[in-house]
Amino acid sequence: MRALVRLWELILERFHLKEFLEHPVPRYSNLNPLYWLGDVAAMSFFILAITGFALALLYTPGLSLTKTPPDPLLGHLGNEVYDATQSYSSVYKITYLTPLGFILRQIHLWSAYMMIFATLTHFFAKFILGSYKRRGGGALWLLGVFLGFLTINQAVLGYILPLHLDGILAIQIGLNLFRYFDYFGIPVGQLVLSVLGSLFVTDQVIKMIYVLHILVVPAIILVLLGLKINGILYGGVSPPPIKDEELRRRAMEEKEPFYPHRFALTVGQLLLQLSVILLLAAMTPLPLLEPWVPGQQVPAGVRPPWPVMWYYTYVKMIDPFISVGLPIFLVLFALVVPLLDRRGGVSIEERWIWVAIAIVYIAIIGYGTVLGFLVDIPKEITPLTRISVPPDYAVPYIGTPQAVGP
Amino acid sequence: MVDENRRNVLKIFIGSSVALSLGALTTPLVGSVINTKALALKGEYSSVEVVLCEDVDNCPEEYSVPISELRQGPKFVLLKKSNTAIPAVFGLVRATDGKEYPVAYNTVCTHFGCPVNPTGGKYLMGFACPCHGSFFTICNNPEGCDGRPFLEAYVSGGPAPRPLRPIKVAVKGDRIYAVKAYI
Repeated sequence: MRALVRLWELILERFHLKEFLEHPVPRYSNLNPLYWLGDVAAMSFFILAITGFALALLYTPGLSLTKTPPDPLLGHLGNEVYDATQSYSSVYKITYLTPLGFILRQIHLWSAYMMIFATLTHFFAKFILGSYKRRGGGALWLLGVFLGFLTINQAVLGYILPLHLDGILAIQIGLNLFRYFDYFGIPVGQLVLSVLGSLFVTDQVIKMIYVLHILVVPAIILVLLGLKINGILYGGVSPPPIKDEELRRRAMEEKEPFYPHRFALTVGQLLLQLSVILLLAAMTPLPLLEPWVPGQQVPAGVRPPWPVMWYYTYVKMIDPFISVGLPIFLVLFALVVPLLDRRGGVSIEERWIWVAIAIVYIAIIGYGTVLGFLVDIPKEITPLTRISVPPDYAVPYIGTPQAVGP
Repeated sequence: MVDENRRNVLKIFIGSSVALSLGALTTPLVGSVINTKALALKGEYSSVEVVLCEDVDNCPEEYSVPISELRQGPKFVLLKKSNTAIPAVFGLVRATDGKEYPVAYNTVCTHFGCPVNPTGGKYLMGFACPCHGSFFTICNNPEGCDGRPFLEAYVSGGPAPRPLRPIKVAVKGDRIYAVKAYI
């Protein structure tokens, strides 16, 4: 026992871990929940990495068709064997035929949703706190916006992988959405085509999505997360939203060591997070959605999952040339916020206008999400909502009509 | 001093990306108001031509559908050429002159790329997109429908900006071959 303690102390000393464990953390940031949300997102990322490792071993990407046994859970009665892609079959095996596979997939899905939710709330919390106003805060803000973008990317890529009906629709939209840039002379669609070789899902496309999801994007996220944590470790957390100079100075001077104060908070938060994930998995397990193979009729009323529901609502409401630009505008606005909002302090009474803008920003996303779940919006064609394509871009009917019948 | 430099670099980066994206967004708006011809370069920007076979006579069977099968209703074929996969629906269109015309379309919606469902019964009449509700109707009047050419799958409803991409077909014997496609 004594030897172990000495070994532990040696490790702490030789790797300079004491400096890390004892670095001072302001007390207000341990007490204010607005400073906890980033930890939730980061911890979700590590849960996703661990469960994702096991899932990556069991999953096989591919579009070749295999016969899948009938599944009473999906409403297939009798001995009706149906076609499914290799990807779908392997996810089916993971979910229903592998020991602990179901709970593994549930933890992965629910932590993914938790990570997105935590990322969004973390973004709005920092928007309201004006974290980008302190020295070095602007760079961290830019990193954060980029990380949020990558998080949404990861969610979409992961949603595609099982190649269920919704996943196929997602990949089809992903492959074709950026072709709108081609109308403006920016050949993004051509680039996608030249890299993947197809604008319809094929083996190459799904292999690329798999590699991006399990290797490329997580690696970028990990590196940027390390940069961000380093920036916070040495640059400190954002100042408290207090107007009074004296109170603010006192709040910033009152510090606690990371270990055990903040450490205990983070561990407690992680345990709480794991229990919430398990509870969600138990109460509302996410089923494997129905299979689809090319050529099958697509049922009407397919909806995207909640993180992109707001965008789906706006896509149905407004012109494609505007709706493609909407998320780009939101991301760009988030990027320029540190340059626009520079004067004054960080308290809410000093920058209420920016708090109002943050609320409008949340409202745009929230309104679309709620509306998307409540109603299905038919698109009205009006001169305002429809911008016609230059006629030269339309492919004329190229066949020579040739009658075959009577 | 250093901080000032950093701020300037950030400003240049963000300024240029804002300028680029604003330019990308406003170009079609301005272009559609001023002169759409000026924007169009040679060839179709948003469609890529895929030649499936140079000649009908040596076209492989996998790109074809027997006419007798099409008489039962539209048929789906996944056309594959090297890495490219093109989802195609073959069908017969009953024109107003009483004749049957073989047609094929690339069933990727021109709005956001969802696979579209064929509508009509034995004869192909159009396509419906399940994702965002676009409708495509095939012009079945040999004289053309309101300026749209015969057999074009024009947009009759929903957000799609342009007609469905067609596939050129040719008849040989009792089969219909896909010769050239746009993706």
